[in-house]
Amino acid sequence: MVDLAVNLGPLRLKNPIAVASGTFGFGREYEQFYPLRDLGAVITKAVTLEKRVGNKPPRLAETAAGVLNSIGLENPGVEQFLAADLPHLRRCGATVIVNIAGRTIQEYRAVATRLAQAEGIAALEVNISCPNVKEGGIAFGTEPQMAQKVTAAVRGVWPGPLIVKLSPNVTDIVLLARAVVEAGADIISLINTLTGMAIDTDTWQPKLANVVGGLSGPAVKPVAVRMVWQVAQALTVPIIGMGGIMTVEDAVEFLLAGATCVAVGTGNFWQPTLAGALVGQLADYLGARGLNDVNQLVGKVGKGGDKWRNCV
Amino acid sequence: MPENVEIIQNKPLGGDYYRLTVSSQSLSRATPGQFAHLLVQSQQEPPTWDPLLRRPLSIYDLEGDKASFLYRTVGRGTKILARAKPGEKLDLLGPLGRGFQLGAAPTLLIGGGVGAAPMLFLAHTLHERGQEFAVLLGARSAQELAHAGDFAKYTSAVFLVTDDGSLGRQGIVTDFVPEIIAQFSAIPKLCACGPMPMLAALAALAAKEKLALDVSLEARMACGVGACLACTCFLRDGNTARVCADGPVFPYEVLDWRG
Repeated sequence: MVDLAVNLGPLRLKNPIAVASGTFGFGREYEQFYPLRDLGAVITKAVTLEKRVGNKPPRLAETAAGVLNSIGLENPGVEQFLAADLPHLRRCGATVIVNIAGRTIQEYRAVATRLAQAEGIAALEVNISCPNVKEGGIAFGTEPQMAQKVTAAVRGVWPGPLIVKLSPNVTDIVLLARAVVEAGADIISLINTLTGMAIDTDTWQPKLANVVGGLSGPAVKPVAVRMVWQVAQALTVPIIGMGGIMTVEDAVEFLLAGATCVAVGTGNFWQPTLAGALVGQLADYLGARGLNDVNQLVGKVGKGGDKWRNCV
Repeated sequence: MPENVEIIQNKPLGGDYYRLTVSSQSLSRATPGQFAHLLVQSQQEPPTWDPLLRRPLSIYDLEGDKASFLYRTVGRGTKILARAKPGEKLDLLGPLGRGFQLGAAPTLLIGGGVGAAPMLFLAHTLHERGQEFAVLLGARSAQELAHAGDFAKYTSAVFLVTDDGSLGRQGIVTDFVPEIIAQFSAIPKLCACGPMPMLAALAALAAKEKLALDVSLEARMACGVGACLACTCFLRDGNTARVCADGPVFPYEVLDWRG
């Protein structure tokens, strides 16, 4: 019997396979593929104080082994989430992590305050890194002092496990990670999308109406693995790793780099059954190697440079 | 659930048009206007995730467990799909979306270019129901109307229009809608799919002449099941709708037709 349970500081998950914010809605659309309670956690689409309609279409452009999106945080707002979506997720038995976003620090605090009054939320994930909204999002995610202020504001009103999702669009990811940990983050999610752009060479127009968007999918995985590894080397904070996970081997890479949990994002679009299937595949990966605890993988990447040691 | 389906036929029709036929259990319950979300890379190959996303294709026709699709090779994904061979397997998700609302009214089916894709299945269904309908198909040239012959199986009332006059009458489909409507026993409902300028012109006509019009929208999709909000369209009331899950078919009057 393989033990898949993981502890991320104060957050205990039955297994380390989650689904990434923005790719899974509030879970409803994926129940037809597997029970949501099978997952370590469902990380919801970003919830904001007020309803948001998002950016103009087109919001999507496919790139080489990747996808650019500029959804723009379309969501029904926190009250609707609490009235309809959270109760539904709880009925499904899902472990619910709510991703929150805002235009101002006050908005982040207000959403977190409201969510703190609700039952059944395992953790908050603070989205300080959405590349697709003009105000707030990206500045909060790229300036350590701003990141710290947002984190501290949410920390002040949310007593439960607090995750901060960082942007990869920075020179030194460790600097940002350290800043939010000092401000009270219990867990770090790495990575949000990389800002990108694609141009139609027939029309000479940007492929996204928003001009720029966030790149995700297998194309970004090496960047994500590197950032997880860098933060894991520098800090002891638990990490949720994500970015282009399509196979169990991809998930294992993140764990070896130092993530304690991983999230499937764009992979849900490729194969909607993927995240549910990875739970069993991860157990098989461990079992085939005579391992009985997934924690035996976390941070176990070698130092490199030993040409005779390519396998466990 | 995704289904691994076998390709029965994947036939070039001329122009950039192809007709793909697969054997699918899941699609056998589809209704006209619904679509399937296909991984274009043959399942014989290890995945490369390039192209990464599925491609939404309207169900062109359905006979028992044989579902077909009409598609144009407009980009990398459809070009790769065009190389798939009979006997190979494709991963497909469907049927997805909300199709055409079938009523008792006579119906004019309008397909612009590859917008003919959802129309054959609709013609098939209306034929089986014994309803009055006609089909109006437009394209740039005769080469892109090879699929027009497929409709003869279900009706003799097929009107063809090409930009260059190389087949049928010369012009654009909206030019001919009023005179075709006049041939019906009662004012028909319009069901249309095609380029946005065509749909916008039909919406303007429908508003002016007080016609019922359902349009099937095309959009770039990621999940195909309503979760990611990539394919969202804007509604007249300022809200949004998901083309994949709330559509792809919408009554024209709920949509925001401003550019």
